[in-house]
Amino acid sequence: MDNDIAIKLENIQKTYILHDRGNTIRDRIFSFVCGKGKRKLLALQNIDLEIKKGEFFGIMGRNGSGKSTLIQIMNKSIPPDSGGKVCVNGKAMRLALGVGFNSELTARQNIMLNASVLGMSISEIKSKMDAMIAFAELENFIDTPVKFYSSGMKSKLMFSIAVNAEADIFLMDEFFGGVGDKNFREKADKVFHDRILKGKTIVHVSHQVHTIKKYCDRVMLLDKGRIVAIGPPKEVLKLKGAN
Amino acid sequence: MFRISKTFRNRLERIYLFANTDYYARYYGSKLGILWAFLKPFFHIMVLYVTFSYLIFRQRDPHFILYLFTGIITWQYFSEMTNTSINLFSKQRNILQNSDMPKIDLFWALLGSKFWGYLINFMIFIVFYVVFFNPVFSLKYFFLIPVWLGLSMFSLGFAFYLATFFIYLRDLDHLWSIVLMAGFWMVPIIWNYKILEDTYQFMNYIPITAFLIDIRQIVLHDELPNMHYLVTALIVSFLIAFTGYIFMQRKSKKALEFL
Repeated sequence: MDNDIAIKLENIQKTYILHDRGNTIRDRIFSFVCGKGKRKLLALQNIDLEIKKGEFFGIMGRNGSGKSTLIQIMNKSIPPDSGGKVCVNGKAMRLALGVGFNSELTARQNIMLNASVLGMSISEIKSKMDAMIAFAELENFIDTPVKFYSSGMKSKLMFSIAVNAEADIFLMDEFFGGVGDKNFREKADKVFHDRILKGKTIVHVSHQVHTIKKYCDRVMLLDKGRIVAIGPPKEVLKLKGAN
Repeated sequence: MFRISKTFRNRLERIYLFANTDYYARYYGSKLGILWAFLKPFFHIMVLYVTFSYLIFRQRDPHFILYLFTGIITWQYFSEMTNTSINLFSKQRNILQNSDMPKIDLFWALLGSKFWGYLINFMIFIVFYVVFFNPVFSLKYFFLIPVWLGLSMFSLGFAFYLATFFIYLRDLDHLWSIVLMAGFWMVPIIWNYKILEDTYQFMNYIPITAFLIDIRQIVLHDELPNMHYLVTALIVSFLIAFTGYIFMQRKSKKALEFL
């Protein structure tokens, strides 16, 4: 893979097997004996794509068009069908609001675990802990279990961890623009712009036309698992009929 | 070189954090917190002491409490390790979804957490042993290391299989609880393992049985374990762990699609 390429996908196809009967031992035996109860859902078809280093790449499409599946394949958390090839040059990190937390643990413990998973050492996490807590504006609730947090508080916490994490590629699944209240969004927007966008590769899945227009260098439009168009935001949005 | 070692160190730290969190998580929200980790085995052994010394089996060998307690805590280690592993992937789904963290790290963390719990139980047992009996501490205690290693590999192997099967069989936990209940009575936890010598010799080849016997021989009788059975149990345990790992690596690729 060329050194200036961050992500390269070749011949990506993804089929989900849906089990109508369910996943219990009895269901499996019935499925085996009767040979029924399985359906295939083709979530992605013939995806060939190259994303350059430092590029802000948008992905748009209706619900069920395959956006999140594609992000998870890029993140290697789910595999493509055989024959597909995924090359990722650097450390990739998926950001999705409200996920990644263990609700029984306190915010402080969740910061430790999540930041560690994202590649930070314990000493780094400890040195940045106060800054992360302050940024998330959660000083008074940091030792409260996350199960008592509102969705806005969880979002702030995840964002705060993300801006301090070490990653070369950020895979943002409906993440950007939905964080907290207006004041926090403005602050997050500024930090995101100053700290993360410089030199990092961003893959941005969103329905929000304004963030796509504002940040993306290129946009891909997906429909029923296929690429409909790839190009500058204006052209793709025109095709989508959104502007 | 530095890069590799830094990555490896980060990985070890991550395993430590997960193990630490898993261990302490069960005591959050309680007034006494981590003190419960010591109080529970203490009260457990005291209950056994009172029950078997004063209430029932009064004529019985007082060492029976030690025999029983070593069996119970060893079985508890295997049982907790395998029980918790069943929904390991579904519990850590969010973490796996957002990162490329190797799945095996979750198992190392689980092993670390449960083994730490076992060591605390064992420590309480040793304190009780010293206070109420006259234990002999000899170099034979070093044989506990291969026994614990084998026991851990045996438990880890089952954990790999169970966590992976649970992706496809969501009621496996119910089935496993029955297996554990049967196992509790089938291996020599309560009954005397000397029975095996005459009638059921084949059971010595079951690793968990062999490990239970070895621990008692070392700790309670100041004897060396039977090397033939120990080596066999170690080989079988490592084989179960190795094949379990391969199975988990191959079959858990689609874990996030099913969970």
